[in-house]
Amino acid sequence: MTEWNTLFLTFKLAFVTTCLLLVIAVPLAYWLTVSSLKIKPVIEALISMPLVLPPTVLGFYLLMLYSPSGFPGRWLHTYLGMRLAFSFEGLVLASVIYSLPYIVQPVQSGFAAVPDNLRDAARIMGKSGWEILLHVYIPTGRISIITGSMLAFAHTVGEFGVVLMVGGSIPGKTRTASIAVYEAVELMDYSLANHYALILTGSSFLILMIVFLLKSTKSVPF
Amino acid sequence: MIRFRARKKLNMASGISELAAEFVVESGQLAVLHGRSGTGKTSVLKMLAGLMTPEYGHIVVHDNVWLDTDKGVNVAPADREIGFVFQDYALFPTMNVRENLVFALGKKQDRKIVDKMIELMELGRLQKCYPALLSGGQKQRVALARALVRKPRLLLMDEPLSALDQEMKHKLQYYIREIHSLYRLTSIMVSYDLHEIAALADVCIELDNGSVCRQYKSSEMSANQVLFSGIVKSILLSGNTAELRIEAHKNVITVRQSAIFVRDIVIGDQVCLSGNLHQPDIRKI
Amino acid sequence: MCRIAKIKNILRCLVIVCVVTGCKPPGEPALIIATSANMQFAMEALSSGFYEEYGIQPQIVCGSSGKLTAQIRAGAPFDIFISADMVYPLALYKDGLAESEPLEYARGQLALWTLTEDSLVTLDNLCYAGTQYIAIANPQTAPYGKAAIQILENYGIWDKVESKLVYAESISQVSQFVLSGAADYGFIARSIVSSPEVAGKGCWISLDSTMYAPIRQGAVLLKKKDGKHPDSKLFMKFLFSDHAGAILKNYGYIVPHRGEEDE
Repeated sequence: MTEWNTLFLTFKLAFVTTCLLLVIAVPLAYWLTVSSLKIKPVIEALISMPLVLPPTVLGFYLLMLYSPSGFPGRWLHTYLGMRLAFSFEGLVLASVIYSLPYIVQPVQSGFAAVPDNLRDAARIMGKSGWEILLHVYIPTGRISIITGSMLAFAHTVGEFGVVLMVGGSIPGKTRTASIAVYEAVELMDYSLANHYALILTGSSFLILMIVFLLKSTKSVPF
Repeated sequence: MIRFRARKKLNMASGISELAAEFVVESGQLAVLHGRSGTGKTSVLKMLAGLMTPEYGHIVVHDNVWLDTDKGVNVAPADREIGFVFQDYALFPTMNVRENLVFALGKKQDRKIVDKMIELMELGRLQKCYPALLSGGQKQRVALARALVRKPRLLLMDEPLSALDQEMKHKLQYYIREIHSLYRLTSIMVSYDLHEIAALADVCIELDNGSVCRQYKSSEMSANQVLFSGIVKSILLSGNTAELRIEAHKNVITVRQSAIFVRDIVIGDQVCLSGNLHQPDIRKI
Repeated sequence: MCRIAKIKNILRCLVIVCVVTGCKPPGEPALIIATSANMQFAMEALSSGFYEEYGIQPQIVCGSSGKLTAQIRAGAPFDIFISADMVYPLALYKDGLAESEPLEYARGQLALWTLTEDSLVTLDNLCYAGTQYIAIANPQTAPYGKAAIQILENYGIWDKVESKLVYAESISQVSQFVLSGAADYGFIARSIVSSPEVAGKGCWISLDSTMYAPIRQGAVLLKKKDGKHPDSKLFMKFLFSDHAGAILKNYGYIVPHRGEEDE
């Protein structure tokens, strides 16, 4: 059934996005926690924009960015043969930008709760920033990393406005479940819309429940 | 030999004021930095460790210039060969005792020193335990061991025993004294426990309002300089000696003096201690 | 007591703000016309023409015919539905949501459009390796999308280009995709490419209307719960007038029943 293809695509998009986000967001959150540079509020504001910006605005800018007639699009097309609009990769990039604050903020909070003197102790031991992140912050803040990635995952599953603008609704490539629900409603196929909607609601609820369960357990180190 | 000179604006208990401290500690000495809370003692330690940079500073340790703000020299904490013991231990919660010590090692260091430290601090049974399960005294032993695995030339301790009960304090004081002489360390410790100072210090540096007001060898105390005041909590007579427990600033000090000198003192009296750190005068206020 | 008084004051202010912002200024309710996306630009011109003649300014709502039909079924407060085909308005009539059967007001024409300033725009270009993405309106909800597929099948290149198709939400999103360069080619309504807003951007050709079923576009007056808008009949009359016919022809539509037949 097309349903399963669509759902598989949706969860695949969320999974790939979340993996990329972990690589980007964790060091970023660490830098935001320990840095005292004056430019920090600017970076934090930029990262948090997708929280308040209408997804269609983001989608619009991405459409311009992806276009082969615009600067980044042309470079990508000429040198890498890549066209991001209507592609899975384009959706991944859009989702990474769109879901970034949903992982950076919880991880940053988790890292901020790590006592400063642990970092001081590690610095005195001669550990580099990366070593401190890897051996001190990530293990100590692991719950916030897990909850952040789950939130980013759930958020990507629910993405609609951005995908509508730059996806092109290609079945199996860019037609995610949220688009499928929208189209099913347009066609007045309410039973199909219901199928998708139930699965999306159920999975979002499950993810959120796990997140809150994790948050409520005291993180006893093994 | 440690030469310290620094000036920095700090948020201290009395408001924003300037720390302007200068002192010298000879090699092999254990110096105790004391004074009321908020006078900048921890800041001095942080500046020595390189965790804080003063506006003006000149720090020379064993002929190495660690800080010279005039010439732009500021050696990184990692390169300063320091051991630091924090007041709240700062043990890595996701590593067990052994892992905490191993993590502290330098890149090419031999792991044997870890075993030696574990043996010295009697941590053998606790090696695989995680910090959350350790008592205060055990945690501080681990912290001390960890500070020493890199064989530092300077050991800094920020009120290392303040969170422990009297019995633990005594035990840890013993450990500190032992390793200090064994490794011929130079140490600077922040403390305001009179007994601790008496037990450990070779030299005392008193800070008041951000500057060093006195530096003296503990044996050189002159009379009538008030060191401490508090309320008598208990008096234990044992032959000719009286043991008094005096409480002040959340701290309880045990002092021994000949019974005749304290015969007019009862429990609940406000007293002040002055004079020699090892045999202070006790006077009712 | 002081705190309660403060809370009461805040509540009072909130109520006042809500009432004030919720109030509509007194005046006539607007005539709302739901228009299929391909008629977007033509409708603006029709709207101005209507205003010139009757001094009434209608409100326009644009979207794909399928979406608008779903909204009307869900109770959207439109007065008139100008569709891109006859099927959707007929379905509404059968459901008892329209006053009468749809009347054909124009016949749509399909065009092939590209921004790349190439030599000649032909259907064969779609098969080239250099053509990666071809935008069409979602055939399930937009009649122009259906027509595009018919052309591709009749021209015999459907198998070669199916994998390159990108489905736009409506015909206006097709122009978005083409104008942004994201899609190399787009099957667009002729009315959009010949509108002044888009004229001059890229190249297009009108496609052979025998290759697809005629896009007969119908309009219906909608039944409303609280009674018809007095001006809706007036607009329907205007829509089938010579004045409106001239405007529609300008935008590349074929307007039957009014005399001249364009090819």
